[in-house]
Amino acid sequence: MRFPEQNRAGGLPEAEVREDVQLLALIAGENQHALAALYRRRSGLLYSLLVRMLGNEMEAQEVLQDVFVQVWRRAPDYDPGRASPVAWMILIARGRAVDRLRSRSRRNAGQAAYEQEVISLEMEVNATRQPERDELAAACTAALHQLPEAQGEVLQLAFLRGWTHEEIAAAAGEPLGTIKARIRRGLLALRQTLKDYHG
Amino acid sequence: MAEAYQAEDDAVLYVLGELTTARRREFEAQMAQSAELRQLVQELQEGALALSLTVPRRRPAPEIWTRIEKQLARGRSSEAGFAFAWRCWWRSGWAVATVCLLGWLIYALATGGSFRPATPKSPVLATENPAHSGPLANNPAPLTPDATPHSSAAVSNAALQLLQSRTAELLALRRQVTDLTNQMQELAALLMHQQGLLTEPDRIKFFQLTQTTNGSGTPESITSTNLQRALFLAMARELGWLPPGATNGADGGHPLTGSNANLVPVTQAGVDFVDLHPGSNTVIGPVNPGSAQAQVQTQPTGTGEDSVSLANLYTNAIPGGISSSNLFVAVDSSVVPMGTSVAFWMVTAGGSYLPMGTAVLGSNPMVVTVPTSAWGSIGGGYFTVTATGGGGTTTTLGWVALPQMLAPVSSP
Repeated sequence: MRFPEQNRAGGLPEAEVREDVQLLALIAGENQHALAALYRRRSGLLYSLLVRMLGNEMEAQEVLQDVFVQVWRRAPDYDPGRASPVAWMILIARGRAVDRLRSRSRRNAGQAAYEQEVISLEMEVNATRQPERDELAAACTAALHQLPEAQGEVLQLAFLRGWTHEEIAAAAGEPLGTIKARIRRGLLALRQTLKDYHG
Repeated sequence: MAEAYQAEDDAVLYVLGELTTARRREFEAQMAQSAELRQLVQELQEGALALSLTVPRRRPAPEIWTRIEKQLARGRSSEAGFAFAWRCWWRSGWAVATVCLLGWLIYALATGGSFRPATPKSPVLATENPAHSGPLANNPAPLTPDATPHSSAAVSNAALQLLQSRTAELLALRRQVTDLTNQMQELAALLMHQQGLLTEPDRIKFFQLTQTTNGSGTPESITSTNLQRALFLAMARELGWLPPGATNGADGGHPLTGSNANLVPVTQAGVDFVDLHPGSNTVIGPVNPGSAQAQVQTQPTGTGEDSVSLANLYTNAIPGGISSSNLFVAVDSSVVPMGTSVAFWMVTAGGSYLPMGTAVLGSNPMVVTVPTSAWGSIGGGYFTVTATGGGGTTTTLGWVALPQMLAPVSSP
């Protein structure tokens, strides 16, 4: 089965969400063409996330393959009332990537490691500014930069590096409740960006 | 109030997939009762999506989709694959159990035999003192019975961390082994399938006649465009795609000279087809296939050049194919000069030369077909092509072994 080039970055217009839901329903009925269509629409976003998390293209490819096999198997369980298809797939992908990150070696979750991770996250963001990035992605990136520094850091450590809340709290020397609140507020602030973008 | 905070915290953990299975089920039950909680979870998921969108865009390699398709096909077709994976898991499960047991023993030794359940919040304990933040390497506490309670706890904690990390690594390795084993099975099945195809008698197989020597001792494998086209037409003819053609010269091809009266060359699409009938054709002169260095005239019409080695000037390979009924080879002026008499032989394993026939190359590329029944039941040996130039000297152009794979299935 062949498919055309990756399409544009996935925003969340209502029509696209509806199409994704329809595709997942077809996949649940074992329609492989629907899986190919979903792959064409969303593999770019998922792959980008995996490369960023794992820092290794080969590993990201393996996980991407695994993610779409999971989508194929778990499509019958997908509930549109609980999550949008893209968010559902992103969280499957993230979960797989975190498994890999944690299986590499037990992290030395100390203050030095914390500072090192934060610096590497900053460097990655600065090194990968892309002028061709679409408007929605640019808006989300701007929103991430506008978060209070500590909030942006813990959010990325938790989401992109797979650090647990406890690890972050211990490394940052902050109460666990503070870290949890920062992550929650950070996610909600970014979500607001999406909402504003689509009106 | 505390319950509400707890639910909010759990919502984040739920979205990040960090809840235990039991806690996740509890939370989902809670969510089913609370529209507010469902709303919060949805908003957090959208926040995660927004964070994912900040990542620079990359394109996955095209072959990933092919791999996904293969994996799905494998999953559907092979119940045995599942059984195998289960066996692997079972075996690895025992391996994990063994490692756990060893870890337990190490732990027991390190704590002087007094086991006390450790808190799962190991990273917090490990980083109480930032100077001792590492699990093992940065921890100077000796593994001795008289260690202080604090250092003993740190060592225990480090041992547990080590055990956890080793278990996680082992699980990852198990997954990789399963993946590799599946890939290996897939490749083995593919290989068997390919081998099966090769042994099918009705399948056309292609080959190139190897030259005995080309002066440098290295066989060449150049096939001219005309020869490639001629070979394709030969294949089409063999498959019945090419309609019966006119007799020689019908489409303006160069007249073909056969050495025998019963040779009926047909010119189609600019290619001369010669069907040899062994037993009634004759071959020009006795040939010793080993005498590849024989000198012949290279230009049949005579250009005033001295005699040179044919093998040194014309080193291009002769392509051919074999079906269940015919063997065919293609020759043109990139192989031998126009006007050269080309003879075809079967050489048995015992060294006997069975003549298949002779044809003289015209201006068109020439495809010569020999029925496989012609060599009867010799069951091996070599198919050999020789050329006789204008000077009457003969040289071997090439030969191909006829192992079991190429041997005719039966002779009528």
